[in-house]
Amino acid sequence: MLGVIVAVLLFVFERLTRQIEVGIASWVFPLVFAEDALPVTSGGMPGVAFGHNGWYALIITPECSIAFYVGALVLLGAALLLIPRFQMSRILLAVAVSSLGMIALNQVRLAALGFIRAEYGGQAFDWAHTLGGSFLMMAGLAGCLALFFVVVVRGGRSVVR
Amino acid sequence: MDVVFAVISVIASVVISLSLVYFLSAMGAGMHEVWKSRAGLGVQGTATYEDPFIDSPETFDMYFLIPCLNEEAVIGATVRALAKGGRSTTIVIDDGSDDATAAIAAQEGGQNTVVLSRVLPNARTGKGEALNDAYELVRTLVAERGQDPQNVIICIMDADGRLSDGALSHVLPLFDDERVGGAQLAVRIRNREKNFLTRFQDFQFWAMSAMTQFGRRKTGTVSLGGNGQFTRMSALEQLDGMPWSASLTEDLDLAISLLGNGWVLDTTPFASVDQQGVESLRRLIIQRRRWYQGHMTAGKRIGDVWRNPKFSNSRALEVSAYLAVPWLFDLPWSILFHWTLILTLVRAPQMFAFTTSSFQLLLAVGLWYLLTFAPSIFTTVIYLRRDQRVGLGWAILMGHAFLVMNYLSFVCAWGALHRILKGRTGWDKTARVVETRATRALDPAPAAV
Repeated sequence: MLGVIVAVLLFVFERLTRQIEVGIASWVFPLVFAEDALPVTSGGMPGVAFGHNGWYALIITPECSIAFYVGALVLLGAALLLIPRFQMSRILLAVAVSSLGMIALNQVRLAALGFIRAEYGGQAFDWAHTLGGSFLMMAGLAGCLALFFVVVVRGGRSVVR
Repeated sequence: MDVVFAVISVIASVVISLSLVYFLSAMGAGMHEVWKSRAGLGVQGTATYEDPFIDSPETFDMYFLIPCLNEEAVIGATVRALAKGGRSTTIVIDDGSDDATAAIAAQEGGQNTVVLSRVLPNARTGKGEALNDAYELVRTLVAERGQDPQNVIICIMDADGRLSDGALSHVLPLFDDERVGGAQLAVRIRNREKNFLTRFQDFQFWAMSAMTQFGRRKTGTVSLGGNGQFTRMSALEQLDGMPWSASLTEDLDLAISLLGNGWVLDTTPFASVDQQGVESLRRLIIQRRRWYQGHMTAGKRIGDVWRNPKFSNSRALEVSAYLAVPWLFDLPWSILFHWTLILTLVRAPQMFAFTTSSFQLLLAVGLWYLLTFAPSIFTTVIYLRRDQRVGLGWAILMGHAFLVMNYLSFVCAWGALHRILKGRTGWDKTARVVETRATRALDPAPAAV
């Protein structure tokens, strides 16, 4: 039940999660390539503005956000909680590890897109965003789901809660 | 609206990613198992299906059970091939045929063949019932002959099934491991060169199902099928009641029951069984809808699997994923596939708007194709490697045929759901076609190396 509530909260407050993502990105960008970065809002959408060979901004749309992916992982964990043999701690660990993996992956994607935009221009950004980003997230999600199941399955067997 | 789009896209991504994880891990595990067996992917690619007893160690007593209903077109060759075993008995179950099935079986099978005649109204009550009747006869014969059920292997064959040459020399040693309760052989479609549909069935069985079945060796959860299914009699004796259920997929039911008793189900890349593919679309839909219905109904056993302590986590997960395929992947994908298709078509101009020349557009479309169709390219290569005689053109066509053949799955999955909801459990038997010796001896040329 708790898992379902968390997933619903992620859905309802997805804009807040995007703002958190923007906050993380404005911390990560200067560590990786930008001279400076700060959270901004454009047309009601959260974004990150950053300086590198000039100033640019990446707007984070709902489709670019990680909230729904994390919500799906939380729901999956909630479903597995119905199976008595699994330890709750393993499921929580699996949800945490896979969610962190997805959040980190999206930060890598945002940083890479920001760098490509500033370094190589709008056309290169479009290439990376359209082709690279989508498939990176798909492959990343598949990897995180595999990790999720490995963590759960490697846990003890027949544990009665 | 953006949020709705995002949610649907994430659902589509999750379904695709889950199926990718399952498909790639099963295929990867299968390739690793083939490699571990010191075989190439092309092993059995050029197999012939005449004498399964070549080099047979004869370490077990064998009982071949062949359920038949109007099988005069194919039964003769099948029993003839099984008549050569020193420690084998063939039981042809004539399930109330109107044709000469029983007479041909008795004539071609010789002294090791028994024809078990079931008569209406007790006949034609389902494959499981027919097999259980034959199993009673096996029990009697085993007792009369003083055989040890631990050393008795029962093999279910389709009336059109042929085991590969020397198959038993690879199958019987699997049962030397006392934990092994059953084994299933990879299936080849004999009339694969007949038309697109038979070729596609061969692709599905030989390039995909066979590889994922090899992968299941890692968890000992190889799924049993209706043709080339081997079980140890002592494992069947441990089951509650008779081995084969009235389910539309009694083979899958049996596999779950054996796994539930802690038995290992195995396979080998060094033997296979061939059978006729269905040649008409209508018959194929009927056959697949029945499989789907049985598979979907078996989904209710997922709960039992997780409650049973004899299933390790990995075994339970693998079996559950397999049982959940129609519910988790096929049915949702029938909707999400169209969503992604429409989205791709609508967004195509926008997706590639950043290209500024024909060359760039070609490059972008090429990259998009490589990424989107990576599984198709992968299965194309696998099919070609499994049997190089297939030819690159056919392999490419089959690898990409899912775009069209998806609809076969959609129609059958929804049709099966409809029948489940309506409580319809009727059984439509797959019809056979008459074979000449020439059509049986397909692909006589050796494979290119």
